Amino acid sequence: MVDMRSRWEEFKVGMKPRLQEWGFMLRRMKQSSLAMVGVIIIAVFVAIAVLAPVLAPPPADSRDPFMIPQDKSLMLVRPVEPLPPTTNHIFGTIELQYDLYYGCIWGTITAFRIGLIVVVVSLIIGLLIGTVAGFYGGVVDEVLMRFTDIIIAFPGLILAMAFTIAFPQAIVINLSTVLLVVFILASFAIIVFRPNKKLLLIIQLLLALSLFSMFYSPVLFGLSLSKLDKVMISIMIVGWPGYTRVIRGEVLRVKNEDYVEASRAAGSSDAGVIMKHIWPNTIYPILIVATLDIGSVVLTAAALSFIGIGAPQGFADWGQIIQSCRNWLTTPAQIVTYYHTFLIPGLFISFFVMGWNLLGDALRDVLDPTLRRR
Amino acid sequence: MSNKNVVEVQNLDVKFYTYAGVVEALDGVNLTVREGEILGLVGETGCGKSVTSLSILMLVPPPGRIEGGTVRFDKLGGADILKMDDASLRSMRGKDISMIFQEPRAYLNPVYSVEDQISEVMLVHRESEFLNKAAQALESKKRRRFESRIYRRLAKKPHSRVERFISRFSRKRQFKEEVRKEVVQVLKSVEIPDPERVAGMYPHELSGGMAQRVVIAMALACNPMMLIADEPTTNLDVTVQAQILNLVKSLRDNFKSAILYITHDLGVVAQVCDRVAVMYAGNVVETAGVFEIFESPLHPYTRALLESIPRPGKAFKSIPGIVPSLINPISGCRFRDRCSYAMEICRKVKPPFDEVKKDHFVACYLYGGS
Amino acid sequence: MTSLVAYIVRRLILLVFVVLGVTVLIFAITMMFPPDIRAYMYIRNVEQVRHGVIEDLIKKYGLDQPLYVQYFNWLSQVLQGNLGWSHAAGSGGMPVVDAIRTKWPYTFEIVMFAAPIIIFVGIYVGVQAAIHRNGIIDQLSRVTSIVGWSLPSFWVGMLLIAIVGATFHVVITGAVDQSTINYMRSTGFVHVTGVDIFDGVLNAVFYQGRSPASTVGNVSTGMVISAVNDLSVTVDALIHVILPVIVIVTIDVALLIRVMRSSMLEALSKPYITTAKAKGLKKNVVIYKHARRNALIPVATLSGMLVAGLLGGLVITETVFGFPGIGNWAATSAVQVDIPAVLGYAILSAFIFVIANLVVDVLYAYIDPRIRLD
Repeated sequence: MVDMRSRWEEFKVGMKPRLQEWGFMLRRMKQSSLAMVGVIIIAVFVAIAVLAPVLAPPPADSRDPFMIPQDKSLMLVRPVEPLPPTTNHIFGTIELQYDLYYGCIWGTITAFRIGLIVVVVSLIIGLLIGTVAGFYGGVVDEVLMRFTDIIIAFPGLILAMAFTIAFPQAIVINLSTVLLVVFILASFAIIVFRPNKKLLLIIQLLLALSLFSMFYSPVLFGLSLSKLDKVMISIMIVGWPGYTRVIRGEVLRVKNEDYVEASRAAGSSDAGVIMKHIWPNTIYPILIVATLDIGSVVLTAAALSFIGIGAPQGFADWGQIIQSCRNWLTTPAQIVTYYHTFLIPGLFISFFVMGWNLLGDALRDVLDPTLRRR
Repeated sequence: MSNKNVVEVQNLDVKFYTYAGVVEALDGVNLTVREGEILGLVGETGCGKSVTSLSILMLVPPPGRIEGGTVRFDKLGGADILKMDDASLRSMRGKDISMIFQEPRAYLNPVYSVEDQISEVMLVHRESEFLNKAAQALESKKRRRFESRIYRRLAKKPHSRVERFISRFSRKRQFKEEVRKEVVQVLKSVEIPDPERVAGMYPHELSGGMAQRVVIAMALACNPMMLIADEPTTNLDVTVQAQILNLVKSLRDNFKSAILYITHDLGVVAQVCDRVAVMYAGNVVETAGVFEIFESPLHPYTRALLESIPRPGKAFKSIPGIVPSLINPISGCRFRDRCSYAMEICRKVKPPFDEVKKDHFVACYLYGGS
Repeated sequence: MTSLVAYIVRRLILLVFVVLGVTVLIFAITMMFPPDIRAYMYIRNVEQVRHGVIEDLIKKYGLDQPLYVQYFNWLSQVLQGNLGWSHAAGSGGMPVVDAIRTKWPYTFEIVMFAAPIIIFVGIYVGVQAAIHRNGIIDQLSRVTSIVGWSLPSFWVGMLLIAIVGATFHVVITGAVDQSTINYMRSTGFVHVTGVDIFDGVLNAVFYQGRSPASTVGNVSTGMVISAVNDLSVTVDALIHVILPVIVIVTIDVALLIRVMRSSMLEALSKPYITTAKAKGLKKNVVIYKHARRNALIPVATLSGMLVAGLLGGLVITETVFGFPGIGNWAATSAVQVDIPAVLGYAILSAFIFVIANLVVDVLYAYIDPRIRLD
């Protein structure tokens, strides 16, 4: 017990300067009015997302709250045409009488889901690859960077589209495929972590298992992916190189600093050095990229929905809502009549992305080294 | 011994308005640089040496502001540099007073060649001279009359629009040739080997010592009356440092330049300076000839400084305490908390900077002045 | 100078490798589809389509043979200029190379206006924002950049169409009006460059006296130009290009301004600026000759990549405006699962990327002498 407490004390003491630093940054952020606007916008959207079941309760008979309810009574009168705002439908309805208000509210959750998941996964992948490339240099660096370049060279949108089309609705995963992935990750882990004997043994066992199973593939199991999932996966695949380049640059910069050498001289393992010294000092630019990326990912997903790949008809997704009304906006008269169908969801998207962009921009200013404390 | 004063700094006050508060970087600095003399400005890191030198050229960067005092420049009849207008300042910088800095490769623009950067300063201040030279060279050989006529015209300012247009688009071969010759000449004068080749090189291709010579060449290109050198040899290794110091000395000998040499290395001071000014926490505390300062230092800080020079066989002695903060600075003499001779008055009023011996100035109550 | 040449050669080799990598990736994706669809990748002309030579093709190009064999077959076909046959509705059945050849000039038509505007406005505003830090231009450009970057491109497009539609009662979509299309078709308009803006003038000058215009099948939806002749083709094309250019510029100029600004701020805080001032140079000379030249280095890289991305197709914008560029073609091909088209687009995109990279590298080496030693 005593040991634990002293370790906690140690941790607190160690964190103190870092907390001071964060406090300083927070103070600077509060000074910037643009940053505050961004935070407020995001807070509003978070509130909407959290309160969605209250703000737009799903009808009693719906199985999936993310499917927008259709007004059956209106459908009897006018089955297809979007209707302007009324008391029943605050924002009006879109094609096939889906309630726009409901779509926008639940679309907020969808937007957060897409943004956060895609960014976090891309970040992790990019972080790992970039760190390994930057830290070890040499051939490893060259190979990883060429691979990254290939992904970058690929037209992102088209790759996303191709993946979304090519991926079947349900993936039947081969056990050997899974183990192949495990094999790759394990090799990675060996390079990065240079683990001790016990861990090494476990990894070697996994390797053997995966190699063995690649010749036999008896077990299959299925995994179903919705269209939106496929969109998310494809954006992830295209998105991680952005992080890789940034983190690699930072790692290269920090790698030769004296404290890294000192840590090495004191006997830390590679993983230790990376986690204790390199990552804390290189993480800030990544955070900026991630914040800005959330907005950008949501925009991309909306664009893909707009083209027709993406969430299915009736799903609560802002881009999908706009896409479904494309046919109704071909003449000036139509545009004026049905303005609500694209204006309102568009405003939602714009403000959501703007909030994150303001925040990311403010972060970028706050973390600007030439401005620090002088 | 009766060298005239080139630059006189009196009661210079500089404040920095930072996030953390107002830093009173310089509080009444007094300094005199004389013709044909190397004045060493010594002090610890942060005592205000660089700020003083930048103030002479009005180059103090924001959030710094020069708040008081005068800097008189002899060439302009004793005019106060701090009150000069922009155009006069620019005409003075690089031509009458030049400055060189600490890390030469950082202070050179990486995308322009050596020749580009040196010729740049020459063209700002000596353009007519080169125009006339080029015209003369052509006229004496009776070639390219048109070109030499352009040069003569351009040498006479002001220019009309047409003249400016022609000037921009004409090749000006002879003119460029003249400038180039002078660049090579200047490089030679700072003892750079193979100056033609070096002229075409870029800063990242130069070694530290070479780069510093280039910077010196650039500073001397317009034959300034005074040179300010802000720790030019601190980052160089000792052998190179010796060469540079010799170069600096020859400047004083051959051209009678006034040189302000800033350093924290007392060894360099002993080698190269004629007079020394010692700074502490934003004040000049003592100024005297170099021999005088080493033989009979008067100010307690100077004494402590000289005593702290490590010598084999002697116990290592340092000055107790730390430099006081310059934000909300302490009253009276800033050295008082570390001074073994501190008196009551030292806490209250700042000692005046007086001449207590022949040509030996001190700011300390031990030597009078109440 | 030989170091410059060697540098270029080195980069070229690397880039060729990247292109190959991209082709492998693309090919891998197509392998997810069954052989008869993939046969279209090898079809050269209409004849083969009509006579249903699919089985022969499957045999000939070994579509049922192992991966590497197929890949090499395919690659050799590509290098001979056969990118397959596109069957999608949008491109109406033609060889992929023809589709690219006719459609890319339209994308270029937009980019040739958008790119210079973005670059020059971006550089100018960025520099001004940096010089007068926290001044009016800085604050204003910052806000507009963030807002511009947050807007979904399709939404801005729709908005602009709506505004123009409501104000002028015309819907401006596509590259040219229907009346102009009829004119071009009936008078045997020669598409010299493929860019209507140029072709109008070229036809007026060099190809006079073609057959007179007929009003066959004339259906106009909101004519802006009533009298149609060669020069009016140019004017019409220009009018149609305005809105897409506005959309692109609004969204992308933000990034350039930001990068230019921060790069300039960094350059202005460098030591050599103090030297420049100490030499007695005028303030403008210091800013523009010394600081800006250094600040432009990272901006040049970014601009190159931006232009490459633009030239590779503005998928969303072209779709919204119905502009017949390759972006639009790629989008419709993807939705209709037109494999050769998607492949062809991906290859084109990678190719443009590679060339842009090369140009940027050369530019970089020219501006920054430090790179040449590398």
